Amino acid sequence: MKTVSNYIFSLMASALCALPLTACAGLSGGPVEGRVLEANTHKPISDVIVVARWKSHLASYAHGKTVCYHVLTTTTNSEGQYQFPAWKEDITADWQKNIRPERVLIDAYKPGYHFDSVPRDRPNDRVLAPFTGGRGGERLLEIERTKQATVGCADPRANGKSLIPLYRALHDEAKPLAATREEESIVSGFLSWIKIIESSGKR
Amino acid sequence: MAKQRLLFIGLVLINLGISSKPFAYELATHARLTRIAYDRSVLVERELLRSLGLESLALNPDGSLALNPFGDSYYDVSGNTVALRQADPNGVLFDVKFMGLADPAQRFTLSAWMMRGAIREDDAFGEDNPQDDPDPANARLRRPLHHFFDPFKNRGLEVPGIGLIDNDIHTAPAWGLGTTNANAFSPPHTPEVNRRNHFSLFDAREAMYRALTGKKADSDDPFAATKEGRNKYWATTFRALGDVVHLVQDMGQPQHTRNDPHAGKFPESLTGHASMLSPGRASQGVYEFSGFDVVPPSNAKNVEYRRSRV
Repeated sequence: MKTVSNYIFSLMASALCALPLTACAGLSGGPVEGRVLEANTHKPISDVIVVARWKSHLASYAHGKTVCYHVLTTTTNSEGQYQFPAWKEDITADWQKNIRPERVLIDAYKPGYHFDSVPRDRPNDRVLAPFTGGRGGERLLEIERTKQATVGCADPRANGKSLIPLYRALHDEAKPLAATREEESIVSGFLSWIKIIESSGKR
Repeated sequence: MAKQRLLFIGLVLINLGISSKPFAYELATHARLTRIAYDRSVLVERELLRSLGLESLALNPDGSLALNPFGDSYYDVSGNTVALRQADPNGVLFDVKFMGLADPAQRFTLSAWMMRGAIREDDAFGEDNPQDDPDPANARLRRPLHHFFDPFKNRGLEVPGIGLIDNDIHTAPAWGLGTTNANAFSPPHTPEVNRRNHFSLFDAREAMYRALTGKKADSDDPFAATKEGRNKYWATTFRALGDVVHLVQDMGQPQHTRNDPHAGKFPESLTGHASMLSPGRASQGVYEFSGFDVVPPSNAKNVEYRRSRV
């Protein structure tokens, strides 16, 4: 009986220690790989900027929220392939111990294209289609939405600096499209974000 | 040894019991709701801003919001103690990344200060916010514990064991007003002495008085003698209003008005269901919502809105 009791006690202790796995192991993710293809033609698209965002629900007392705890960007090769290597980093703040890895979100951006679909059997692949909407404000809003999806990761603790190539590309496509003052503000916003990300975490 | 095991098992059970951690709007959602509320409020009327002496500060000549009318810092006031706080103390863009601003240069506009308050109202010890509350009494403060109010049962957050985390939980109305639970619906309202929420409606009013006059409300002695000092109180005013608006937003949610645990942590049978938004197609901008059961009004008083994940 005593043996069984000891066993249960050890099991509970082990289970309790196992809950905050990330506290022992640090944060990690990847590898992730996939392809970016063009809608209709199914041809690979090269030079696409692919963003991988690792997100988690951070449950706490009486509330919780979604946090982006790591972000990486890369570019597709001539075969439309991309790859994010496995990464691992130490936990540097207590709150990171509560991160429960949930999902990685993949976004793909190339000037003149917009998101079309995700192949049902290849969840890491992305299908882009040539953007056929208006070339002015409509496209600018599309570009702005691409940025808005990622700003939650613009945090030095989440490797936010890796977003800079994306924001530069967004800026370069957006700049000639801006006609109004408000649109120019959106364009200058990309540069502001780059500047702030570059200087963040230095205080 | 037996006692130690009992204590250990007890602690495990308590831990499971207090793991009922409802969550609600994301911070970015709070910020956007606040921005929309601001855009629809009297604060966009030039006449009001002029009467407050804010027009030339808060607006550009063409009527657009001035980028930095008040500076990048504000005051945290607790009794006679006034502490200067920076908007981004750790340089990690904590609030600005939730604001949804096209240009982060807009992060100190009048509406941005309100959004900042709406974001920082969810600050809690042990989370990823700046943890810059200077009040020692607030060293382990978890503000979200005070964001609940069930009007049918006149209660705040009630979860077994929650008293071990915070033994003075306020209802959302009391927390937002800056008064006690007993006084929240018993006018005249009086400020709670030594309250832990330094960004309540009472605090917003006091900050506004100091911004307008440079004096404390209860004293004629000059207090904030310089324009810069008064501007910091304007920033404080709008940050505090944002905190209050956050509570109003929470009161529009079943989770916060029905004591609904839905943290989705292991084990869900004890902590409540997880989010009903399925993340499976999130990358395509599609969130599938499994939803709550329809509740007939006649049964609304009795419903706890608890439900297993479907």
